[in-house]
Amino acid sequence: MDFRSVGLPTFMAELLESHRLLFSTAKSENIAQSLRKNHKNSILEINLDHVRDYRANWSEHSLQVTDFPIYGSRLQHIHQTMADWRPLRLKDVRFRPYHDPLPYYGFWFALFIGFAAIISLILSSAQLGMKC
Amino acid sequence: MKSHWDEYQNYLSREIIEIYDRTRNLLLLDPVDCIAPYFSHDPPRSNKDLRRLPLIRRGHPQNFQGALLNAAGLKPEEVRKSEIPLGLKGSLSDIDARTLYNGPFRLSLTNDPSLHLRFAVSDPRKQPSILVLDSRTMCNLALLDLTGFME
Repeated sequence: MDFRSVGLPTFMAELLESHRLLFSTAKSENIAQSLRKNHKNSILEINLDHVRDYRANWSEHSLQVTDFPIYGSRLQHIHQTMADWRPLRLKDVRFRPYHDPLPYYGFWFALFIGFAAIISLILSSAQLGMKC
Repeated sequence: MKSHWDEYQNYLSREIIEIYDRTRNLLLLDPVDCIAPYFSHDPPRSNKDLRRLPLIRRGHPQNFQGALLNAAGLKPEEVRKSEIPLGLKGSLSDIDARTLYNGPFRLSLTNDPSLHLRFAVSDPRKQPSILVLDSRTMCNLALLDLTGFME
């Protein structure tokens, strides 16, 4: 049997960096808690102490795709899917796209103007009715 | 002389079996919680439960390197790439939990390393979910990394 090593010296660092990438923001505490609640029947959890400890002692620079020789393609796929996401169904319009949010704001602005126009029309009709 | 050898052989066999069991358990991410019981809060698993674990369900790899990759949740083609492809460049600053939760995507936890940073296959009517490896499995993988075989 061949007992040579695999040749992935960055493996563990990349796993830790991926957690740091996802859970380094101020809102991470709430998100980690909600993830724990979603998996309340199992022991799955994100330990933010590990993330904070790693960030404080081992990693300070901003992360690039080139920092992930192993997981780079998976991260790139996530990045591309985020960039390509567009609302395809009516219920998706409540989400703001990650990139190019102009159509999202345009839609809600148009909806607001339309709603205001309808209210204005109703009020004008009511006013006209009262005068007559 | 013969009796000494038999005694020595028995002793050696026990040690080899013990090393084999420990290594196998480590490569399978410690499903029986013998190496890292500190991280486990689950009751001990029976053999029936073990069959449900994704890493045990998979076919046996051809060699030791395959077993290591299997335990790490990596495919050989992911590892074979010697350098980052040209398309993979740029900052990853917008991939964080807060940004993801401000949009349509959600995060979900997994204990299968092969699914780390992959989209969950779920109901298309639900929001897309990105799977992230949980901290306990990551600690088990750290033990695997400490063996030095991942270097």
